[in-house]
Amino acid sequence: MPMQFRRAAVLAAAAGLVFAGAANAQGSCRADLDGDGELTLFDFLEFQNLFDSGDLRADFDGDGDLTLFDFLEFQNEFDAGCPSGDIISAELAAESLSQYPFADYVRAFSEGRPFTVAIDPSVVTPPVGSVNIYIVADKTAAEWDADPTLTDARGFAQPGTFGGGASTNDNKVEMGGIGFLNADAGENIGVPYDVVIDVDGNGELSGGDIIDGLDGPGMWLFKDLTTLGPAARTRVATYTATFPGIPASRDQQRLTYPSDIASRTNVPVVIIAHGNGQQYVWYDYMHDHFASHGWVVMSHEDDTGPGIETASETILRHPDYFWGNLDTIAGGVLEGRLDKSQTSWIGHSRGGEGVARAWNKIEFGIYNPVNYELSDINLVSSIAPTDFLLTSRSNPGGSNHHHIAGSGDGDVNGGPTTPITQYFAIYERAGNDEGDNQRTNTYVWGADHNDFNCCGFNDYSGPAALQIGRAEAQQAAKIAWLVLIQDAVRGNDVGMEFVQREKESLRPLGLRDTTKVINEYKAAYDLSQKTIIDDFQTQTSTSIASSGASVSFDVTNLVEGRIDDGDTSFSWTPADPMNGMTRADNGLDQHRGIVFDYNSDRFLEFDLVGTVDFNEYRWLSFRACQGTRHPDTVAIDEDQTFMVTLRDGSGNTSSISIGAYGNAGLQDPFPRTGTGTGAGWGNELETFRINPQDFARDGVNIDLSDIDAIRFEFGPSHGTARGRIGFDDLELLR
Amino acid sequence: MKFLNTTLAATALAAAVVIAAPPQVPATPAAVQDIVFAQPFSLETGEMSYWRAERPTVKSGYIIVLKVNPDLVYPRQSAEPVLYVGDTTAQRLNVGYRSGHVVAVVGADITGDKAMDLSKVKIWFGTPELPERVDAKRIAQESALADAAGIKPFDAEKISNLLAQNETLNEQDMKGIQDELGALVRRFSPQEESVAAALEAGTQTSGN
Repeated sequence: MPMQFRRAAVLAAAAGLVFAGAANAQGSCRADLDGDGELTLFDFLEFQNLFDSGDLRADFDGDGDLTLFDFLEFQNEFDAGCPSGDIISAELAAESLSQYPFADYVRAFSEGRPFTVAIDPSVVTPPVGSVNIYIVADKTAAEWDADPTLTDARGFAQPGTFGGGASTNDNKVEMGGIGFLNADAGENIGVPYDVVIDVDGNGELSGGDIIDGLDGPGMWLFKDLTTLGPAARTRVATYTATFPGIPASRDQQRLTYPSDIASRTNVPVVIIAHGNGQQYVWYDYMHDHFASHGWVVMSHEDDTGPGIETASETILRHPDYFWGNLDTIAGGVLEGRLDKSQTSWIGHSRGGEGVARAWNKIEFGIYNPVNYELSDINLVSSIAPTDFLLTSRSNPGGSNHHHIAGSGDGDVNGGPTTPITQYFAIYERAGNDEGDNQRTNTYVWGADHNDFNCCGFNDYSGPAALQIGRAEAQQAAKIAWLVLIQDAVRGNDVGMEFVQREKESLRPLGLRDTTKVINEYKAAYDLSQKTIIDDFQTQTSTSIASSGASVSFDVTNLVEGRIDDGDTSFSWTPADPMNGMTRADNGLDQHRGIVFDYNSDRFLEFDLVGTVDFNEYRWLSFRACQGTRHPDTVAIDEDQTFMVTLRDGSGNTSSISIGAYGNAGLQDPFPRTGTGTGAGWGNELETFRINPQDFARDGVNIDLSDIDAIRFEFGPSHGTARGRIGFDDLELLR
Repeated sequence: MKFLNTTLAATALAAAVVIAAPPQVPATPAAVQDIVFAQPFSLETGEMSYWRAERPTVKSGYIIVLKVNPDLVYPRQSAEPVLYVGDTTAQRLNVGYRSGHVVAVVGADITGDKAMDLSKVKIWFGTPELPERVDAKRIAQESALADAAGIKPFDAEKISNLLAQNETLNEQDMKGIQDELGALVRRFSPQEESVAAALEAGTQTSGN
């Protein structure tokens, strides 16, 4: 088939249309021997000619001989007719869901984990009878056009039968032999594949076949992200960084680089700053992990003892020494090999605040680096940062910011007693203004402060049974950093699903299934790429969203305000409706949201300004949490679910439970005691993202181009019977 | 039987709740337990001290080793008790929690014209704070609190004897005394070998 025609058909299919009766693809129909696109008497004559001349194109049974059986097979195929239509591009690779929408069409999958090929029959007509399903090494559209041969990466195609019913749930085939799929991407972290249903059974991608991944991969298979990459590593244990402003007692750096650095160019760099009482030699697990994936890693002494200003000053100056002395460091092996513009900063505790302060100092001209600039810093990651300097100074602003902390941290504990230890505050300060980058939060249940280094004291505070230990905490951290840095420096945004989806949905290898990781993600503040429906930053009335949408509700005790625990205790009291919100920890932090509760069927509805075409968006996104120690939270003591409903301009509705994806829901608070009566630590805001197309699965009658309202429905008819909810950042993302 | 059940329940509860939490910060002001080493030093080129708000330049002072209540120096990210020596703060070179010994440097020429006389000043831990935020006014307040708590200087003869054991280190700059600092950390707080090594490494040639 000419490429142009094929692409046009694909586009049509992607829009939900399936062409039928169009010309066949060349080579897709063996019985069409004269290639005129039709089966006629002339094909019989052509068969006879080929047969008579001994041409093996007439060997229809493939036995190498021309016999009566070839004629019979030819006749069978002639009678069956040629498959009609064009190549159909559709989403196929999915996580199987037990409830509507029954399939989560995602891109990232973990090696060896089950996944499903699912067909939404309202979009694509499922093939009848048994068909072969192929998982093929990713090809571009041009490569498919040049070579349509289907070669399964497992070594064999998988026969499968789609039920043909009216629901996606009737049309799912679980993939087998996935253990044969290679997920080894070398120093990268995912292997791309295309998924093809070979409807006509001709072993080629041809008319009538269905493909997920014609233009761009259909799916990515990820290895165990906690394992080392393939690069051998060389470490320089310590060397001295002499640079104005670096104290003599804090002047050591430690370096790890790929041993074959001499053959590399444009190598990204990760720089690590420790916290108070910690050592620059305590992060070898990061050194090894990152360097084995082809990056250079430098950790340095950090002057945390005096405080955060001094810490940030060493954080700023050590890179200046590093970048200015590549010709001498490690004998000069790094010279000409690195890409300064692909630098990531990671800081721990006081160092975690220090990297935020350092970013802020460059941004506002308080420090002017000699040998690098702000735009070189692609990622600023803070591990359980303190917050001594508060809003105006410890502020990562527009950086690509990441925060990671453990719920069992006994040092920077995230509690309400003092702003200094409310680690979420710095995270909340990032990504709030037009042009700001994305921000990501990784909250690891059962991890303590020093689990993120090798050698600090065990300061775990929490139920003993929930302590996960240093090794497991570092597994979670390695996954987050690997995908974040890959995204930041190599643009592999598919891996970001590991920090965007619920952990229960995309279960990463190398991490125990019982280990809970709460993911929170806010896309870059680019209003060409997102529409904010309500971030509660403006329009402080509870009846008007920041977008101007009208808000109605009958949930009870709804309060809009700063997401700041109003006292120094986690004990529940109605006088402190933002209890557990250790997010805006002083009067200058203005991050806002709402809280409310319910113990019967209730709703919260956003009536959009005009109507919105949800087809233009990839995600409906919001973040929510349970309210710690509230009687309704305590009474439930488990993950919460509720329904998200879209309503179109004609009044049609479609609903999805937030528990549908991975059967998770809204995490109940970590049951840690202290800081008041009861159990439950800080509120764990987590992000939920739903593909708007999921609301139209199975032909549900809703016009996504004409959405009038988003309604959240709570209570026994919609999920959990009762609960206390915190809610924020309702957005549409392209 | 009832007692047994109660005991079992209490045991189970204890096992299920909190483990390994950091020690509480002891009350301050708190005196150090002992001073076990003291040595004067003098530098040709002074170095800025980041351990108090004014960031004074230090050209002379003392290296001291203190025996302390470990809980006072448990490494915390939140504010820690500040170590004061006379009318200034001291720079702590190691953590000292496991050993109970802290190696510190204190400038003797920071305030006023008269150099600090170690035998006449009290040494104590004050209110938890970041040293970089502590200024002369705050030090005066903390000193008053220490006086009120009855914290006194060490016996002058003890200090004199300690100082007599070590000659003044005369070095070009702070880097020159780092070998000594590293050796002291190794001697008095051997659990912190990496701290000692880093201090000593700072005297090595850079960049390799």
